[in-house]
Amino acid sequence: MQIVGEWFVCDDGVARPVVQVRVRDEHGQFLTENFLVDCCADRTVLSAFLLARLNIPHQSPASGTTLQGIGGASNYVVVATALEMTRDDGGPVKINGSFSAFCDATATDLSILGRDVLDLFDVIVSRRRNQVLLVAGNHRYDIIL
Amino acid sequence: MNESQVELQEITDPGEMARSRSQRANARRNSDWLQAHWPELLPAAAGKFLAVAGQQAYLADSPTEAWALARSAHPDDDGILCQYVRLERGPRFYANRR
Repeated sequence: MQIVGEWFVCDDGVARPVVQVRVRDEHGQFLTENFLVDCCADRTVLSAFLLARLNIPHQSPASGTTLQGIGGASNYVVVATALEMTRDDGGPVKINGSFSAFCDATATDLSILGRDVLDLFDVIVSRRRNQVLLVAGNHRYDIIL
Repeated sequence: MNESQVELQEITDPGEMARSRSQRANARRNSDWLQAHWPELLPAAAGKFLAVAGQQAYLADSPTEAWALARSAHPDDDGILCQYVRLERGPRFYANRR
């Protein structure tokens, strides 16, 4: 299986690697958001905008845990939901779990797909070839010299 | 609640596959439109919450307001895209900030 993302042109004109993800809301419907493919993020984090749209119950994080970046700690909550992406054959892949979500609506423009999810795949992010691919299952890649 | 346990599930149900494909295509149209129309949206969109539905932009001062505007204008669009539009300019790394 492979999931095909894209280089998404952001408001500043810079193209960044994203995958279109649909996230299950309070009614079981799936809402779409672009997620930044961020191999340096330990965890997937939903934007506060998406959290507001989902309107699903959330919990405070475990005591003593923080969402830490170079700029410091961010307030966050934890939600249990499903992320859905589309395979190259058109079928969906669902990733069920508990995910972090920012509380500050201005903390990020894009939700972040971190290594809790990305570790399930081989991740190919190639600006030269204009490709963003998440590869798993029977698919594989080779480096040809 | 354990935050690191995730489970991957491949769906093969034909109905789910059709729904997924259709929703992806609708979101794709809104995404393509947004990428082509940033110059028209800025600078007014900076610092606002943006929703794109039916290949049209809806700007508001709060996430819920932007979402409500887009939903009411295009209730059948299941591929609405939303994001906050940053005020700050310059290179980004996606660590949080204070």
